[in-house]
Amino acid sequence: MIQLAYPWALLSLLSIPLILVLYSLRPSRRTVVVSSTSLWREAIRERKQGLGLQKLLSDLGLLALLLFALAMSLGLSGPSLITRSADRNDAVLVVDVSASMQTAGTGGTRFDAAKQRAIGLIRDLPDGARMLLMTSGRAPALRSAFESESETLLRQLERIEPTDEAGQPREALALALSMLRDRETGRVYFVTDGAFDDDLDFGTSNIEVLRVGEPARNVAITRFDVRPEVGAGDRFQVLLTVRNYTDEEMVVPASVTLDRKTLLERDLRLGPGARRTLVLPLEGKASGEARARIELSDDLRADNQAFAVLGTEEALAVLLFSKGNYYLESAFSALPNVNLTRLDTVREDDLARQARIHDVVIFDGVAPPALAPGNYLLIDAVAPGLPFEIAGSVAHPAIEGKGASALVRNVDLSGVRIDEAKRIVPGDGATGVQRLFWSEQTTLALAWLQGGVRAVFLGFDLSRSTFPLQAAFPLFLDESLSWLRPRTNRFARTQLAAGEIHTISVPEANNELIMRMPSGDAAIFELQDGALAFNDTSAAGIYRYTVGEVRRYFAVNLTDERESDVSQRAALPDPRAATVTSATQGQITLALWPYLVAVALGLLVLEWALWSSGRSFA
Amino acid sequence: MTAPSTATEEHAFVFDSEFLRKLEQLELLAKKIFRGLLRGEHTTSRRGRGLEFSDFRRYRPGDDFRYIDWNIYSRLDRLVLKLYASEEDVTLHVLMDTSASMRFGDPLKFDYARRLAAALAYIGLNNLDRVSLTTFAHELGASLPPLKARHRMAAVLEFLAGLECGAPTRFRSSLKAFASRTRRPGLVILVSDLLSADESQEGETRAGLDALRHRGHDVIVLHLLSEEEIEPPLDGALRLVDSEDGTELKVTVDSQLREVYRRRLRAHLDELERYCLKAGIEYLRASTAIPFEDVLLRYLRQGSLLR
Repeated sequence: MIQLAYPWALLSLLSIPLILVLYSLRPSRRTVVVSSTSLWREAIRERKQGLGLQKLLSDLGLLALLLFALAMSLGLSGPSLITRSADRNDAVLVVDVSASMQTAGTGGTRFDAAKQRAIGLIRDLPDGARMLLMTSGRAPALRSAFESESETLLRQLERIEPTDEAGQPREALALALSMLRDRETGRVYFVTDGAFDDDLDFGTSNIEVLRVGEPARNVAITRFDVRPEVGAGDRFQVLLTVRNYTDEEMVVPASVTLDRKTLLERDLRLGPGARRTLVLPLEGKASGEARARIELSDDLRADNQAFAVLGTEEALAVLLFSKGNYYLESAFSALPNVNLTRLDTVREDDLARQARIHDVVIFDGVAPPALAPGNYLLIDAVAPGLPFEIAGSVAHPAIEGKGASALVRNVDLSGVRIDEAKRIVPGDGATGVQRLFWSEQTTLALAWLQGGVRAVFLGFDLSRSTFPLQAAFPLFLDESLSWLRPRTNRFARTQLAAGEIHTISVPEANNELIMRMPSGDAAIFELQDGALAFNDTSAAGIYRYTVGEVRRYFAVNLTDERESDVSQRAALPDPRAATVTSATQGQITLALWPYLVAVALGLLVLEWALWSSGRSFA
Repeated sequence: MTAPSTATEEHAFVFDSEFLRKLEQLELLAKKIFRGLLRGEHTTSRRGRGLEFSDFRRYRPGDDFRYIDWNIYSRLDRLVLKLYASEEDVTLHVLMDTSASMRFGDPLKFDYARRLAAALAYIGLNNLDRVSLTTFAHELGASLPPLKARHRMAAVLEFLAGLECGAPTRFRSSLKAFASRTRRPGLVILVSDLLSADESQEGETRAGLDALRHRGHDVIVLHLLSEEEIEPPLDGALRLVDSEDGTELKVTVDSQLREVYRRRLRAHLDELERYCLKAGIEYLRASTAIPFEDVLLRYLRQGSLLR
């Protein structure tokens, strides 16, 4: 690229007409009378240099003068050639695939335009140059390695589709810059609509933002939720927020359905830029698939509907062997979605079955038999074969410390007083045992994972301590249940933003998961240890998956106020500022004026030589 | 011989004493030399007219090989033509180009041509019955009717001294006019640079010469070229002006173009020579840098004009 420091100096090109006038006034070519010109004409014709070229050559002096004026004018304008330094082959092409790229315009969506720009960049890739293809959505994603083959890049680009995700371009560009081997010479091309608030100023000129799209109008659902009222199992609330991003008042027909049953149908009048939130209390049990929709024709349709799912949680099956513990049972009743079963006694031959059909088995003051594989909470109950031994008891042990385990990390034990506790002596080969909290004399609580048994042990009687009276107790109980049965879906989220990772936990016996996408397509995923981090949530809608006999579903939404704002408001890096600082940013600025002046002087000498040679024959 | 005393100042310039002295020297050779011109078989028009053997001359392509002396060939291994004396009176027509292009060269082609014409007339008057001179350019110009006897040489010189040149050349029309005007065929010696502004000058020249030939004339072409035309001293950016029609040609002359010009000139001369050979026309080329007497005595002697 050539940049002119003093473009006004090009006005000196006006000297060219002056040169033409002066040239016409100078002595003309020498006139020689010859006997006949016919042979000369034939000679010229034979030399196959037509009269046009002959005239041009004969006017070489004038041509030299004109070129001299041109070279001097360009030289005075201070041109500089901006090139990249030698290692300039790496480039990263980042394509914005956020939801706003689905905004329609004349001739297609913004994404269509972005794709065309990207195709142009790929096709212009110089021979030997390499390019890496990335997308910028909620999270950046690499779509190719550094490739020098344009066709490979074009194939990868063809597979890219816009998403319903809220974009985070700064993260994508930071990753793109980090992908460049040499930040001083590489180049990042970001093709985007500029509908975001992120600051893209990384203090480098390596980023070139190519904006696509045109102004658009949009009305969006920016929040949607359906949830049961706390403490009321037969009532629930619908939360719906709609925002008008246009400059005019809009009447927006909005509706909410739950399993195809209409819950709400209303016209919302929204002023320019206004938002309106509806909280609608409804009678009944909230369960099923909820869908909100606004019916109007705007440029971005992805945010004209939103989804929610309710009542999909599985209850935690807990078996409690206890003679009766008010505190314990009260605490469980406060925990949501727990099915507690209490038995007084335990049969040794039945424990394995009970452990298998319950998520957690609790022994409270009841001596258990040898533990079969399962999850156990032992409260002042010692089973045979534990990785420690009990050696008497300790009176009034004071809690002096606690471990770093998640079970007690957020549990405040400072107010706990214990009348008596068992003295615990670590057994031989007690690996995998971690202390949870302890006194000076003995360990008071510990947890271990050994031979298919996962267990938490409390070494004192709850009724002879203040622990159940502390706020720490239900918290400890909850953390213990989570640790003992971590693969439950009890606390899994059912509503995600598009692009978020959904962690799926299922019983370990299953190793295959069938996921049905909002589009209706199905995909099979392999599970490892009963877990799957599902990240293909780029499209909004209801996702349903099946694992064995278990069928679950979750909702993915755009519902992002900033993403639904499709105005192209981003402050993009100034390309001129980038070139000015190019010398320190991997670009070379080569001043051209010395070369132009040299050429001009050379032309002047040539013109003088032509003129003087013409005079010598006069 | 005494040089003509009636020459004007122009005579003095063109036909100075040196020239006249050379004419006297030529006279010594004329009697012997010029006989070969008209009594041989140099053209077919008078073939068989003379029966009396006169002389020999060297065989040239185009000669009738029936007149080759085979005895000499067998002895000397040279082809020699036997010449026979003519019984007819022959008129020598000197046809002189006075176009503008003749006013070139150093010496001027025009002056050179006038001297050649004078010398030819001088020899002719000493040896032949009649000599006439006619000029032409774009049309026939001044003409000197057939003269007889050497004392008319003064009239010839006066006529030549009074000539001027300056018009464009029109070979075809001029030579056709001359052919149609002459009553009896004779020997026509055309003294010209054969240059014209017309790009089809070769065709024009051939048409004019054909007109003479078809009228029954024996034709000899004395093609004059100046050194400036053979090796043009031109270089650089020039506006060439044609002397005959004033047309201009802007050209930048360099060594390459000069070489092309020389090649074109050679092709032009070769073409003329081929045509003359084919048509039975004697073609002799002379540069004005060569003294005219050398042309007459040495150069022309190699041809059939002078033995």
